[in-house]
Amino acid sequence: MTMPEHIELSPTDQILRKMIEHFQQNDAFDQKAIDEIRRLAETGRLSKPKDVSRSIAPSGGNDGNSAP
Amino acid sequence: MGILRLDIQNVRGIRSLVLTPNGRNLVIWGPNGSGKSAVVDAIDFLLTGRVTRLTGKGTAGLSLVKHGPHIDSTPDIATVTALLEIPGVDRPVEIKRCIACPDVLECEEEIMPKLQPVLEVAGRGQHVLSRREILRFITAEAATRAEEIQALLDLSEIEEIRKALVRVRNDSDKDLDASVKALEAAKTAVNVTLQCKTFDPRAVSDTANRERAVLGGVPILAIKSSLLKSDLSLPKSAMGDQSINVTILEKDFTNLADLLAESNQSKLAEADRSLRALVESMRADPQALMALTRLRLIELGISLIDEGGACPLCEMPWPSGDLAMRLQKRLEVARISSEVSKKISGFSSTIGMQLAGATTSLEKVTASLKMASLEKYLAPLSLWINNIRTLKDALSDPLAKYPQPHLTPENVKCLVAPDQALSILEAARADLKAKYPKATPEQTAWDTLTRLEENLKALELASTSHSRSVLVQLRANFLLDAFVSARDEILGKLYEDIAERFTELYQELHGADEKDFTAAIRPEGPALRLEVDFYGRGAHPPHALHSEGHQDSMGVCLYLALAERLTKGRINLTILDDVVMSVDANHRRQVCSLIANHFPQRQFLITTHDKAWAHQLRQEGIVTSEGSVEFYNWSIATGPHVNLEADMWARIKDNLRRGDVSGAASFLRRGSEEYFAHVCEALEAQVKYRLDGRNDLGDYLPSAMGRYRSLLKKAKAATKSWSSQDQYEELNELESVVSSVFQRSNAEQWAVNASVHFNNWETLSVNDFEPVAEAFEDLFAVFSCQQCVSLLHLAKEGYNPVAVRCNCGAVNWNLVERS
Repeated sequence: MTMPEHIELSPTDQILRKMIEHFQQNDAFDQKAIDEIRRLAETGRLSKPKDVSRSIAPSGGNDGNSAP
Repeated sequence: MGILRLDIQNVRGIRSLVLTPNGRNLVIWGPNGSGKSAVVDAIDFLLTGRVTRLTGKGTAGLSLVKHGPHIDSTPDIATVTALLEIPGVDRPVEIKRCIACPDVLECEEEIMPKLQPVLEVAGRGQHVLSRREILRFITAEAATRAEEIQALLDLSEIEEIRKALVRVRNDSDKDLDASVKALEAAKTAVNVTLQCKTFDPRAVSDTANRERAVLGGVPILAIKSSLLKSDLSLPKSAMGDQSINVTILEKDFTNLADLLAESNQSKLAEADRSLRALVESMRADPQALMALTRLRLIELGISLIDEGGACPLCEMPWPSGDLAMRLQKRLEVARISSEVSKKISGFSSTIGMQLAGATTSLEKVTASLKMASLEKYLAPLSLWINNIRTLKDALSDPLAKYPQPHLTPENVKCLVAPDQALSILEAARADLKAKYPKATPEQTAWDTLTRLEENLKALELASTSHSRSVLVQLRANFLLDAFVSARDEILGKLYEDIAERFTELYQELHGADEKDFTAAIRPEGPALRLEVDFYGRGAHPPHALHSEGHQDSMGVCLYLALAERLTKGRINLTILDDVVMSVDANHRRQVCSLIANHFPQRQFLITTHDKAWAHQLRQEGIVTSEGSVEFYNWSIATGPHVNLEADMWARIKDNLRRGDVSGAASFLRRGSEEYFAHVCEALEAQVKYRLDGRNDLGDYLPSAMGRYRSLLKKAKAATKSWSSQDQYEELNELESVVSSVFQRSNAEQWAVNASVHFNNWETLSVNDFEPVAEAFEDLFAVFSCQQCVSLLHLAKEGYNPVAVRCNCGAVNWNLVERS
């Protein structure tokens, strides 16, 4: 996601960038969730369901299963 | 990125090899097993730290450390070093990797940031196309083609992410379902305490304040577990044993008696019958089930259709409103299924709620009986609880789990209301009443509030968990939708561009016979549909009607289109590892044109066991003489022997220096025969036909020279007819120079013939042969372009020759006279 300008982003990076643009406009996501998902995208961990689940869990919990 | 120099030491089948393509194309040719692919492996290892051939399916037992080095070598001396051109770096960069430390790339530290994007693309393998991969995505089924192409270009990460997000979405759906059920169960527990049929917050408030009043407390306004007993204390009149309050327990006995009542059993049986009928009807209609699973997708699809009516997934245009209408019909089927599904949930919920209430009451009763040491009742009541839990589990997902074979209507009735249950409960109640006196109103009020407090705590937790699950499910759904939408948009555009480029490249190869060829690549959900035109007879999958050779061409073209797009700006190198096996000679020449015309800035490394194609590449100017390398006589001890074509003239001179006229003559004869055979083909010179095909230089050379003269004469005439005086003068001058070269070679031809064909070379001295070699070197140059070094060839329109050209356009003689 931080490629030099003369280099075209890979399709995966383009898709992730577009995806983040999309859900940034959705009220369901707070800034923390957006930052978490962006971090997963940049570190190639968006293909790890557990990491994704953790990132979209509301603040105050850590895995979406335990009560706040 | 381009390769200037490559040094391979003790890797795979190579002992020691240095190649210097200098950033230009390179062809390595030789028989099978001569070590060509070891060069590909070495580059692969240098750029990625792995050898792809040693990984993946069917490579169990293979390892880089064991099978990467030359068989008689060790990993510490197995190295690949290259001098590279790197984007953004204005000087050559040397990088090196050793098999002993495959993860360590040796290079200047300051270069690493510039090299990283190159290594990233190389790591995806997008720069190498091998024979074993080429047909996989051309002939693959639509459902697996996306995976094949994504695997080839390492876009599989996209599918991995999609699958992960689907899994997260599915998990969130399940969590939400579970949280809904937990919430209902918590409400049911409250209902049991309050003796209500349905959950009513006002009833909770009324009960709480009534019991608080008994204990002298003030009313509370909010229903919170923490407030229920606020400002209250345990009544002084409390009994000695506070743990069992038969007055409160009476509610549980009543609840269980209600469950067992004949009228209630009839209602449950009716609900069970309806549930079974609906489940059976859904299971009997697979389309209805499928429609149910696709309901969300169809709803989303309808919402995303743009004003023009195009499909939001593949962007295929539809007549206005048609797609929406079609999806609407599918949605109606899905909605009918959805309605049935809701009814199923309703019936299972009706039964499930009663079972949940019964479970709560049974747990309270058995706990009290255990505390009272009335153990004779525990076994039958525990069995009852377990049976009810089994039934509840089956009802939690009726379409998948209900009814199981052993859950016949009769058995279900026995599980819910076992024989003797009522009498056991009556006896247990009597024994408890006898053992424990009736509690005071204060004690009962306190115990009721305690139980309600417990119920409300569970309800509050369930409610919080449910709210979280709702939000997580909302986010998971939106995340997946956003990803799929972005994927379809980006890949759709990518495939559209690639289809266009693929078509352009394929037309370059097969334009003569398929000039109206078109292709479409469309993602269809996770699948990828590839269809190509077949001689104007409609679009079909590539392997449906096209020959294997055409499929090979498509494979090369599709790969080049994809790789060009995805390696742009990072790797300027494309490796074609023996990929044109099924393409015939004429179309291989077209592959040369394709490389020359469409990829002039890209460096190709081509391996082939086909000598003819290697020569075509040389003669079409795709590779220079320095870039044509023959591998032969491979052995374990030495690796491949290497013959650089550029060495021909050097070798002749070397032989002459050593006084070996026969050796020099042999090189000259062999090289000249091959060269002029290709000249005759390129200029369509007439050669004497021999049934055994054993033409020699005596057949080729006069024909080539004669044809050249006649074409030059024709070109002069055409130029004169167009009154192009300057061009005429140029051709005149060329004719003069060429005549001189021809005369010299004719004069010396006797020497070649004498020395080569009549074996009286021993009569020639080195001084006699040197002018022969020089004359032939000049003669070779006449038939090729001095700029792009490709052979001059005849350009035709239909059957008519219209020009003599080279690949770069520097030579272009018009042959058509003004009419």
